[in-house]
Amino acid sequence: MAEPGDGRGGVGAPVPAWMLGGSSAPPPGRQGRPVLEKLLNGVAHVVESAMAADAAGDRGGLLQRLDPRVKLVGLLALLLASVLVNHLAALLALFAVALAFIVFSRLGLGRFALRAWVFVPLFTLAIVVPATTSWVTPGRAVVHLWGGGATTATGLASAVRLVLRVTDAVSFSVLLAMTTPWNELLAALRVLRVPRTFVFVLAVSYRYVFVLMRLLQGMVAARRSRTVGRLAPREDRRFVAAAVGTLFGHSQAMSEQVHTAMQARGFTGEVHALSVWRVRALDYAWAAMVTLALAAAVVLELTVTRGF
Amino acid sequence: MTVVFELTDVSFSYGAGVTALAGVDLTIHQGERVALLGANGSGKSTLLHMLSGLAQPTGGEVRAFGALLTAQLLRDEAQAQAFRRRVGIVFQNADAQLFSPTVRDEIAFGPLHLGLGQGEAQQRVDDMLRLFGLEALAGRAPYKLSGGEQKKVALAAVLAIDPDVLLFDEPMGGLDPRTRQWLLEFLEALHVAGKTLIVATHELAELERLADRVVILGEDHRLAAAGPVGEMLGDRALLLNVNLIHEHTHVHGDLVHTHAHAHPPGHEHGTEHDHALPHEHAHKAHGHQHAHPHDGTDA
Repeated sequence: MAEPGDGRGGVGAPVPAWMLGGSSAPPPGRQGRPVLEKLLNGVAHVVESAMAADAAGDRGGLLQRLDPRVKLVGLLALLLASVLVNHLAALLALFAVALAFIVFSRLGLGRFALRAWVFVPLFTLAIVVPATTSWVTPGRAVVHLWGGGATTATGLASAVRLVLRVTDAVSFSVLLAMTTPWNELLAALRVLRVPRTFVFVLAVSYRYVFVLMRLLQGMVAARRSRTVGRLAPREDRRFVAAAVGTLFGHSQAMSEQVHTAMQARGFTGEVHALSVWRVRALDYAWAAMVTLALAAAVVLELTVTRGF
Repeated sequence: MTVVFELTDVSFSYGAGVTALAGVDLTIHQGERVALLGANGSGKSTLLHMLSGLAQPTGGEVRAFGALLTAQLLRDEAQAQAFRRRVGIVFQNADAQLFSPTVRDEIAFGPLHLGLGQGEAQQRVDDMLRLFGLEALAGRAPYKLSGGEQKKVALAAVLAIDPDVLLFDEPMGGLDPRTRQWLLEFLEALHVAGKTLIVATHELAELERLADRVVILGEDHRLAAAGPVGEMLGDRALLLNVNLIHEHTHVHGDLVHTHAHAHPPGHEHGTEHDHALPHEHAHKAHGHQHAHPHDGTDA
């Protein structure tokens, strides 16, 4: 066996002299992470985390046990209702329905609130605040403001209805996302007559985004392991551009390999998928509940609006 | 014996003078176990792709089951389906092979796209999940599986079609010892069941369990030799010439000793050995075994 320092690497050519001496590298100091590298890593991490989270927690919850097709249609109908109804009582009734689903699906109110009720409804509130003032919506003053304006009752009522409408819609969307694995959700789109090929392309894209994210993280880690000191922002940008180009090239090559693998198992352009779902008694019962909830919201809307 | 594949003067180039295969003549019979040996880049994968109809030769011809295998034949859906039902290929890259959202979808893909109905496809999926012990992974996404699990899913997905011929591209790559052993035993079972197996590999260690006949591709992309496993493995000069084994150099004091050997899995070169021991024993301390004269000359 070749000994260290004897210049014989055992591979034919002599080992270069500069590799045989001791390390001449300076001691490690503080090394900041370039902004764009952090961004790339962050994007990859977020995508991976989102995919790893998939359908949440307890699979024994109410919504988790439903046929994804029935669930998709039902929650979409409730979402549509929250967009169309106008009266506060109807919107509150729909919110109560969403709350019931959260509880019976064992999703955890705190976790759900963080995902569904913090950002979008608050952002909506921030946008709608000017519309509560007498400068935008005239009406009976509730709180007097500087400059002669006031917060009006009409404006406040509109704002509350809008925020509640957004909260209802987001709640039903997040309920669907948190209780349905992504691949089941895509396959359930067939019930809405979404073309099978489109669903298949989405499903394959979802699967390979993960592969490309891993590649991206590997590239970022490799670059970091060979970087000494700080790099100029221009170098950073050059790396991002190179990373994008490399990922594009890899995705191109990967798509050809995947297509070859599909051809090898009989794919000729038309997509066929296995149907594994069967609508059961629980699905029928849930669909009946949703129908009742929708009917109640409509009756409330008509009763209050028309003064019946 | 029925001829399954017949290759006559087959060549393949990627264009711009990049040759992958040159002038290969090869016949494979039904029920045979054939290993395609060669160093990296010798053309093994290209040859497998041609046998599976996924690449067309730029020279020569490939016959499968007596018919000329051409792009025109495979454009006919009925002909293509008939061929794909008889020939299955397990790729080296699991990421490219496992493209479906879940394990169940992956196994069902082949049967569904080769004309089987929902009921029959579901039955095959259930049978494959049971055979490979994958029931607990049926709903899982492929990227969440370990290397060994991915290999099982890839095999299950191909076997669900029930092909007569199975092509494997570096099947042992990246597998842990237990999974390797499982795969070897499984391939032996497939052979007993009458399947024709063609395995592309550059690992010599398990060759006698993998194949009865060896076809060796040289680094010039030509057929270097073909014959029974024992005969091919015994020809050290040939194996050295085609870069399937290497010359190992070590030092005994002032003596530099060079000899040819290959590394079985788990082989480790020790950093020291006792010079006082007879040479055979000294080399056993390395963890590998071979016999050669201890006279300072090359073996």
